[in-house]
Amino acid sequence: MRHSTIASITRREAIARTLGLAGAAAMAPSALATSPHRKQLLVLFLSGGASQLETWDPKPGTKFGGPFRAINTSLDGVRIGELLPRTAKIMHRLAVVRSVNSNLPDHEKGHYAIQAGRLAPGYPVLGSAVAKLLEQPGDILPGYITLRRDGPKAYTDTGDAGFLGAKYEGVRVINGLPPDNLIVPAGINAAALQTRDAARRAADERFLRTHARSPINGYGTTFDQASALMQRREIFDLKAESPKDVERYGRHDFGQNCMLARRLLEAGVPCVRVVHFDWDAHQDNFYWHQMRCAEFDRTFVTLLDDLEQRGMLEHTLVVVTGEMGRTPQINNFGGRDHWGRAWSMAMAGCGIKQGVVHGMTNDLGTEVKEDEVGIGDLFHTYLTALGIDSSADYHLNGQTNPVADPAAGPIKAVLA
Amino acid sequence: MPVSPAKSKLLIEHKHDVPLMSCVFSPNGRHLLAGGRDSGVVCIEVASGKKTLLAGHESWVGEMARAGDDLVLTSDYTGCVIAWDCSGELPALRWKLPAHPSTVRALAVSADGRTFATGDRDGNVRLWQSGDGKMMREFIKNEHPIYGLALHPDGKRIITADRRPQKPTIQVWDISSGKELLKIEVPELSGYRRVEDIEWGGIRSLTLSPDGSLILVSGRAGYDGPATTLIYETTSGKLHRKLSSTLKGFCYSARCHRDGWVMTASGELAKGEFRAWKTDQDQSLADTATAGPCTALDIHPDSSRFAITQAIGKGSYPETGVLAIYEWQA
Repeated sequence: MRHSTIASITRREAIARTLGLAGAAAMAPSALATSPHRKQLLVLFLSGGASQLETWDPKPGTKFGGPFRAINTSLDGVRIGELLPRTAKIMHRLAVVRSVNSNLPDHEKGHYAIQAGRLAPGYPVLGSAVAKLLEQPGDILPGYITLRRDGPKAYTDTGDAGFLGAKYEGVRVINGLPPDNLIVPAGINAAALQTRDAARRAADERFLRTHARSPINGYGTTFDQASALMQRREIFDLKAESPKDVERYGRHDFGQNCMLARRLLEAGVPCVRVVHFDWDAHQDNFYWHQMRCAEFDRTFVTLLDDLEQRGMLEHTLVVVTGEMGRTPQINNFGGRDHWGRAWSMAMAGCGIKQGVVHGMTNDLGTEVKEDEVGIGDLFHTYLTALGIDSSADYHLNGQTNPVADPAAGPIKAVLA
Repeated sequence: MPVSPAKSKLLIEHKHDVPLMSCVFSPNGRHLLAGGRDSGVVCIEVASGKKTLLAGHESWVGEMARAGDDLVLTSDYTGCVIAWDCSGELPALRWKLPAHPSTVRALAVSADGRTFATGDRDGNVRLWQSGDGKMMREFIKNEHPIYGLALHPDGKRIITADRRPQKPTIQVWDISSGKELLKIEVPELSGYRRVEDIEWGGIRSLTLSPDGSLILVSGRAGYDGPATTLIYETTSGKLHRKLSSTLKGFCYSARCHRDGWVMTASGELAKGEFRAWKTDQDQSLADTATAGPCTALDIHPDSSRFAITQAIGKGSYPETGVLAIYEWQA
C-alpha cells in the first residue's frame, strides 16, 4: 500500500524520513546531532552486462553452462562461478538475487531502466535519487559522483537526475582525475576569484527576480559543489594511499576507482557509482570473463573488507549490478549476447540481510523459475535498505511523482 | 602417392551433440579424437567410423596434439592435461595432471614426442615429459595469455604466441638458456578496441612448417576483417606470406602438409570454410564452404586425409558439432 501522508520531499523531510521521524517539523538540530551515521550508497556497475552463468548463477555441465566450474562458498549449499574465488569466501556477507527479469536486452534502455527503476523516461537514476533523498543541511560536496575511465560507450552515462534537476546530476570523475576546471587557473588569485563569484551571484539574483528558482538554484549548487571539491582536492590524490593498498585494490581502472570511491564515501559523499568496463562479451565470453572477473573479484573483496574494517559497511549499501545479463546460448565466436530475462545481481552492507540467495532460474538458466524480481523491485529494495520510504512521492514544480514504481515493491527476503 | 590439395572428397561425417573445437589423429592414424563444448572426448575409429566417448576431462576440451608413437594429449579449460595411450583397440587414459591453474590455451609436442609444452591464460609456459607427465621446467611467465606454442624440430627452440593487446607477439626462445632469440609483433592480427580495452582478436593458433623454417600464425585481420594466416621466417622474423581469406571471421587453425602446402580452417558467425594454399602464392588453391564455422583441422599421419571440426546451429548459436574426414585425391 502506498503512503499518502507525504506531501512533498524537501531536504529536511528527506532527512527526517531517513531518521525515521514523524515529519519535518519534528526534526530539531538536536535530533540531527544524535542521529546515526548518514546512510550512503555505493554502486559497482558492471557495464555491458556480466554473464550470470560465469558469476552468481553457474550451471556447470549443462548445455549452456560454459567451460567453468562452480565452487563452494562460505554459504552452505551455495556455489558460484570459479572465476570469483575470493568472493566465494565472503558469500555469507552478501545477498544475491538470481532471478532478475528486466526483459531489456539493450544497453541504453537497460542502463537507464536498471538505474531509474522503471522504463518511463525522465526519472532520476538511483544515484541522483539517493542524493536527493539523503540530502542533509550543510551538504557541500556533490550528492552523487560517478567514477569511470575515459572512452566509454555512449550508453554508460545514460540517465541522471531527470526532473530533480541539475543540482542532483552525477558529477563525473574520469580516470580518477578531479572534474575539469576544478583547479583555479594560474594567474587568478583568490581575490579575483571572489570577485567573479560575487558577480555571478549578483547576476543570479537579478535573474531570479523574474524567473523560476529551481534551475538557477541548481546552477548555484553546482558552483558551490565545485568550490567544495576545490577545497577537498586531496580526496583524489591516491598517492596518499600506501603502495601496498594500491596493489591490494589492483592497479587497473576499476581497482583505482574503487579506492577513490572509498575515499569519497569517507569524505561524506552520499552516493558513488564506479563503472567497471566492459562486460559486453559478444566474442570470447570465457576469456573475457576470466579477465574481468579477476579484476572484479579481488577489488570487490578488498573494498568490502576495507568498508567493514572502517565501520562503513554498517551505513553503506553496496550494489553490484549491470544493465542486463548475457544469453545462456553461446554464439559461434564463443560469446554470449544480451539477455534480460534471467540474470543476477548482488548487494551487501547497510539494510541487507547477509547470506541470502534469492530467486532461482531453471536448469538451463534461460528463464526465472522462482521469485522473479523486476527492475522496480530492485529500486524499492535499494531505497528501503537505505532507510528511505520507497512508497513516497516527489512533489516538485507542481507535479507529483512516485519515488519508486508503485507497481513494484521491495524484496523483503533480502532486507535486514 | 602425391595428392592434389585442390581435390578432396568427404569420407565420413559424424554429428555430435555439442559444437566441436579441436581434433587430432592418433599417431598410428587409427583413431581421430575431437573435443568441444563439453568434457567428453569423441573418438572415431577411422576405418570403421565407430564412435566412442572418452571420459576424463572436467571441462571443455580445447587443445589436442599427437605425441610420439602412441600418445595423444588433450587439455581443457580447467588446466588439466590428459595423455591417451592410442596403441590399443581404444585410447586409454595413461596419465592425467592438473597442469595449470587456469585454462590451457596452447599445447605443443616436440618432434621426437618426448617433450610437450603448455601455455595458459595467465601467460605461464611449462615444459613436461610426455611419457609420464612429469614437469621438466617452468619455462616463462608471460604477461599475456599464451594462445600458440610450437617446439622447433631442432630441439633447441620454443616459439610462443600471445594475445597481447594491440601487438599480439610471437617470440622465439632458446630452451636451454630461456633467452629470447627473436620477437615478432603482429599488429595485423589485433582486434583491439580502446572502448572495451580488450583484445578481440590476437593470434589464435601457431604452427611450424615441417622443417621449422616457417612460423604460421592465424587469426583475424583487425576487428572485423578476414580470416588470415601470416607466415614468418623463423630465423629472420621476416613476413614471408599473408594468406587472406574472403571470409569475415577467424582462421582458427593452419596445418602444413608434408608436400609443402598449407590447409586453413576458418569460421564466421554462421558459416565456415577450409582452404588449401601454397606458401608462395597469395591466392588459395581451393576453398570449400561448410555449413558451420570450421574450428579446427588436423592432417592424418599418412598425409592422405584430413579432419575438420565444425560448430552447427541456427544463426549464430551452434548447438551441435560435426567431425568430418576428407580424403585428398590424386
